[in-house]
Amino acid sequence: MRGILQIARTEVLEHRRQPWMLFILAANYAIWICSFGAFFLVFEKMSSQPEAMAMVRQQMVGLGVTVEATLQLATSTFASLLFTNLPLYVAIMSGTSVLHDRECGTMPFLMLAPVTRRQLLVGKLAGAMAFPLAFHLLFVGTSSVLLGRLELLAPYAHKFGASPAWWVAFLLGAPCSAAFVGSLGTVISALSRDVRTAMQYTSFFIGLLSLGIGFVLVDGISQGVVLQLAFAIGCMIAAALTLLIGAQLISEDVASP
Amino acid sequence: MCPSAAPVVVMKGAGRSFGSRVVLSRLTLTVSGGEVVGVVGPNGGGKSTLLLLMAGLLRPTLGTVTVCGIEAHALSLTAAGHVGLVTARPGLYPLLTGRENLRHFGGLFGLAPREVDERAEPLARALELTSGFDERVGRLSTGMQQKLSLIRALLLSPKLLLFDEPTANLDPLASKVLYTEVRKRADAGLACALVTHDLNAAEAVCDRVLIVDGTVKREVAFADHRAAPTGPLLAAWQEAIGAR
Repeated sequence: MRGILQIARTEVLEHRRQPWMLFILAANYAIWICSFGAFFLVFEKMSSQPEAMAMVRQQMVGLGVTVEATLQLATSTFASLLFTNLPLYVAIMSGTSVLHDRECGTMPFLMLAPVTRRQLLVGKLAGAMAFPLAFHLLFVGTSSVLLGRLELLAPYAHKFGASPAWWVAFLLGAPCSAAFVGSLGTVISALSRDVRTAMQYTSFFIGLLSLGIGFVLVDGISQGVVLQLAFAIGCMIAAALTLLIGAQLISEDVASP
Repeated sequence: MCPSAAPVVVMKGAGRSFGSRVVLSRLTLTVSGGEVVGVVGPNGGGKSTLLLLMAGLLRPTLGTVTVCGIEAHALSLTAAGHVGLVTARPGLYPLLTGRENLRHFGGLFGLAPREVDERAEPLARALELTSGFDERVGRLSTGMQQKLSLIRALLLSPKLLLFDEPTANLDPLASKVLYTEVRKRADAGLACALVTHDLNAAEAVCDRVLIVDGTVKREVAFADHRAAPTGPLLAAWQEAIGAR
């Protein structure tokens, strides 16, 4: 446990020394939240003005869509994007985590320390998850709870903090799925010999997986708490298995070119 | 736990190939507690590979390598922390300060930050590194980074210390401190192996020197490693390696 915490702490310290990267992650959340927030606030404002709302409805009918369908799509997309960000960020952070040690030349020294391969991977994953998880709790939690109070979004409030299933998805489903995606990223970074290979696998393979996870989490909210819990447990089992297999795979020659 | 003066490293018919290229073969040797074994030889002769086999970072393709009676590669997998290493490449995190790097690796070995500082500061003073101790490693010169790497190896308490061309980036004073520390650790019972191109240093520090070129070509023992270098190693080298 000591080794895991030490590795995670150092990983976090290194991320702290790259404030621009953290700023970009935070800014990405802020852009999505501000864009969709502004959209919902404008609709909210208009809904209190029947004449303006009637005009908008009329114009939208001309385009072949309804206000309700637009809001349905916008709320689903927004909620999914919010949940997608956590696994996506963890994938980005973990995708080069062990590779970073190979590049710095610290890998042989880690291998000689009293830390098992499994502890190394778990520590790296924990370190990669720290900032994305903090941003998830802050940005997704705050924005969802605030937007969920809008009268306009009352029919969709279950996607924004007004249902127990959302809270399970928010506090367990998203972090556990991020742990799964991050475990894949960590193992890829441990097996890759160069940054390009690591980022290609991480971006294409895990990036798509993260997108899928966001939609599954939001769609699953209407299915209830049990499904969300089952999804979270499944993701944790998958993460544990991935790390176990990964630790075996990197148990061969760590110093070979 | 290895008793002092007992064989710490035992290699029996060990060898290593990369694909079809045989780098090392038929290595049978021991390194005991309390001795410094030098490894010299031409470039590409397998000196660093020999050290990596001892560290357990490479698995031998032939024979066995044990450290303290445990298969070396398994030792690195079970994370026993018996082996300390200094390589020509410092191997430090560039975004962290020297102190943070040392605390990180010390922490992995169960040392509290204060304990790391207490052990590291005398070494840093001896190596004249105090000013660079709280600088980010990426801003330090390679020589300063190498000194940090040396401090890292010395502040931990391994049973076996391995040095792979440790003075490659060091100034003469730091090199002298390094060799003094190596000797001191060996006299305290540690087993040390030193890969170097500096034959004078090898003669001055090592109890015996292996001339390696694909295998151990020759072994030169020094009755008194503190005696002034006389240069027998160069003659032995020329005889063992010849016109390669």
